Amino acid sequence: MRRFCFLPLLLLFLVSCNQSGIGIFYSISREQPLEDATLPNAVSVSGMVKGTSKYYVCAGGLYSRDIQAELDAPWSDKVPTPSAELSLCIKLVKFGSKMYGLFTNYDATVTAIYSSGLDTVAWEEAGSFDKPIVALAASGTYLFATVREDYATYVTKRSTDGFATMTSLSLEGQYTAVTDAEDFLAETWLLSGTKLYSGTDITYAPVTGTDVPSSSGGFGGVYASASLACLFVSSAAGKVYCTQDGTTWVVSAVTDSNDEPVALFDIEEVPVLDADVILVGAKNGYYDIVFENGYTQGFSLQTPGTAEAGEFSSSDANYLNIDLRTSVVRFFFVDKASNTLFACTSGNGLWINPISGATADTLVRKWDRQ
Amino acid sequence: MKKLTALPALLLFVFAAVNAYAQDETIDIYGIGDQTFSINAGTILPLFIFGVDGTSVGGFSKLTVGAAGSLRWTTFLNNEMTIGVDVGGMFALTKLDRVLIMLPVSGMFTYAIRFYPFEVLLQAGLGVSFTKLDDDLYIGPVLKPGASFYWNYSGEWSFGVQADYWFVPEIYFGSKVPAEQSAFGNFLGITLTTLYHFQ
Repeated sequence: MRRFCFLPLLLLFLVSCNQSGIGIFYSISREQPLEDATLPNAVSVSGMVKGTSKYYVCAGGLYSRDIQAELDAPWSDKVPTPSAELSLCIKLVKFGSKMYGLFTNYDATVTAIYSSGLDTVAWEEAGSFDKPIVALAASGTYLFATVREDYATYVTKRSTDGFATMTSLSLEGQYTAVTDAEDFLAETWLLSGTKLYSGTDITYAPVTGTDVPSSSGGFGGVYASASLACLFVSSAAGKVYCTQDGTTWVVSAVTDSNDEPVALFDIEEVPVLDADVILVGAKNGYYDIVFENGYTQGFSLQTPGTAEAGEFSSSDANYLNIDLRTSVVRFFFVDKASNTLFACTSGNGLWINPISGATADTLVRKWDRQ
Repeated sequence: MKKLTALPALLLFVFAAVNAYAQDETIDIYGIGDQTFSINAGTILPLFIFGVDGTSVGGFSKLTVGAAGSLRWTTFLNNEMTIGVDVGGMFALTKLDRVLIMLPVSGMFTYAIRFYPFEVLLQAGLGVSFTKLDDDLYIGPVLKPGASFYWNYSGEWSFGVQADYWFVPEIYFGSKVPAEQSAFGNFLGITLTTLYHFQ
């Protein structure tokens, strides 16, 4: 009988309260130091564009860096803004052969959209808006700007010529700005708060029905994958929806260690070896979407760098040890020419992951700071 | 060159002075019921991490030299042997500036070898280590063999240096952390120590 008294003592010897899913010493033994360039680490990145020879990042101010430079090459904060008054950039998108910036003054009483060429920065005012502009988004076909008519009335305008001419859209039940847009199946899909709109004309109705994307907390992002022929939509309720025909949706959800839904943000795609990996930003880093038995059968959201994320994960295991894992990743930017992935965070700067290697043995997919 | 030749002479002088001082002291014979309390502080060297997958990673390539310390109480079983408790702690930084913290609580057994005014304590400890990194906590066994070298300043006070080997297994069975991520941390603590002897 006495020997059983030692059993609780033995159990006490092996107790783990592990949040990360990775062993402590194992984690340390696999850890790699981070490169860190000169972009301030605490900035919130709200827009990124690849120019002819430079990357441009909108993070309050504007920053630029040579595309061909090394990982730790310095960023310049000398990129001009349209004027001394309009010195804050709150969104930067590429449309056609130009980049468009939404600029504001310090108390947000003056807003304007400016455009510039991609080789050198020379801002020109794009369009004339008589109300405050609160959001700027681009799909492949249209550029969208949302203005606030009054406290609770928003109007979204679209343009194909940089707002030289623009058309006001009628979005049924619109109560906030259009924050993301994609073209899929000859329709334009728009995200605006808790509503997902689709349409081809100037009148858009929310997607309704059973088993369609919905979120009381709002949607995070929409992405159309040409390679997978799927439209992905993420939500603040921790769900990712996918459709191939625009009517039938497959859904997967992710929760945190307390079984609470993880707020999800924008979605991107990056090739890893010969697979197209879909990524979704989250309030706690980001997730790889792993397809089960082909992408039409279902999918799950997995933490990059884990065994569950598989051999095509967008990151190595060092992701599990770095601050990016606990950052709010609002969106990604992919330089398709160099297969370089950028994670744009709120309050934790810009991260870079140049993915290279043709085989699993030579694959390099390590995140570093910018 | 003169400095070098003077060094042995200086050491000889110090040794002679200490020895002469010690002759004036009563040689203290510890007995059952006597107790000691010691405070240790110094550094801890990360030697290597050995994984169950057969990999071994040098500790210095992954961790900084850390700080370590402990408080130890022992009681004598006879003139040479003691048992007691050691409560320690260490921290070191990883390559990503994460802080590894280990707090071992060990039962200690020591055996004393004396050549007055010096003594060497051979010690072995077995206990529980609270190992923390970021939000992860692991409570597991720790084995701490080591040795201390003391100079007995008086019947109550001794000063010296202590070396402890920290063997910290981290065993997983695959429920949340894969079993193949089980690993063994190996560290060497080198600390200055002050010991107080009382009854």
